[in-house]
Amino acid sequence: MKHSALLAFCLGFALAIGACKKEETTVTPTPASLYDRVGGTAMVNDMSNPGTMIEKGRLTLRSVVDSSIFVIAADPKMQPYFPTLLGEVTKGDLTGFAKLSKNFTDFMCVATGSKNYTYGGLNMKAAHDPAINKRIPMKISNADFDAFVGDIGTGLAKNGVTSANNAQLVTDLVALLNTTRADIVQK
Amino acid sequence: MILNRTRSLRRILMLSSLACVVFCGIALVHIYMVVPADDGYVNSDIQLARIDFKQPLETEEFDRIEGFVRSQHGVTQTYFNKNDRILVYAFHNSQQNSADVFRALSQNTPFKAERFIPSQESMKNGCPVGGERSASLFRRTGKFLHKIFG
Repeated sequence: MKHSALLAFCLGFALAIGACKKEETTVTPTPASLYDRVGGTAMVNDMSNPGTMIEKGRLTLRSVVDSSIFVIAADPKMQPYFPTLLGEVTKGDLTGFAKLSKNFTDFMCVATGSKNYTYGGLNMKAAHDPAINKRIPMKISNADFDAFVGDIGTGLAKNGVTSANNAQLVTDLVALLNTTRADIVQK
Repeated sequence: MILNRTRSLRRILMLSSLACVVFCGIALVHIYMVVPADDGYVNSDIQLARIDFKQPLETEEFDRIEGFVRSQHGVTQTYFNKNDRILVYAFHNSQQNSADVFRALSQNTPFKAERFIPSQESMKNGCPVGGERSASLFRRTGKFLHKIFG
């Protein structure tokens, strides 16, 4: 009787250990966020802001955003949506470029999975509805959105990222932008 | 009786003033703590400007125009949309302005071009991520406090 109780205990213990081991082996690592893949939280010098450090992920995204802003400003299809980019402000005032660069970078940081930045703007649906947001001159069409995504692609290419050398990153970034399409395109 | 009333009125006024001072103090400390010292704006004086070219251009002419504009004082970057013959350039608005750059280009090159200036009406519109948050009184107060107290 004693022996069978001991045997049952040992068997139960072995099963419990086995179960624990099995659980350990099935743990899968969390996939790296897009933000991590473009540099993550590693701190680097910010060449545009001497003496300050910046997360590498944010620096990469800001660089792409800034390049894309040039492309957008030179794109007649985008002009109705970004007039403030070209409106000259007086010395000492924040320019449209600085505002768009900062706020679009904030948005991209949050969208790609950064934990240390916030985007304080309206949600995408409300922001692009002329009935709610008076700053939007008209509803946005699929063609306009495609042109916008194309301009971001050109901005990426200006930073050395193309479908030829980093297809996965380009695909994932375009997919990320496309997650906002349903909210932004309202025409 | 009147003296007592005056005293209590003065006490009420003093307490109210003290409460106001304490409230304002707490509000300012709150603003100081909530508004970050640095809003994250970099290159805040970088201004974009656009020039539209009204004639077909050859490859070397694109390069010549871009090179000329880039050589102007204060200009930091250029981008040519060659399909639409639109040049966009960036400059420090503390050092340069788009009227002078366009004048220099017109005087030194033979190309038919037009300086693009968005209308005041269109300036009221724009992409929401352009943001106007920095202009709020709350943020300006926070920035002012950070300037004083570091």
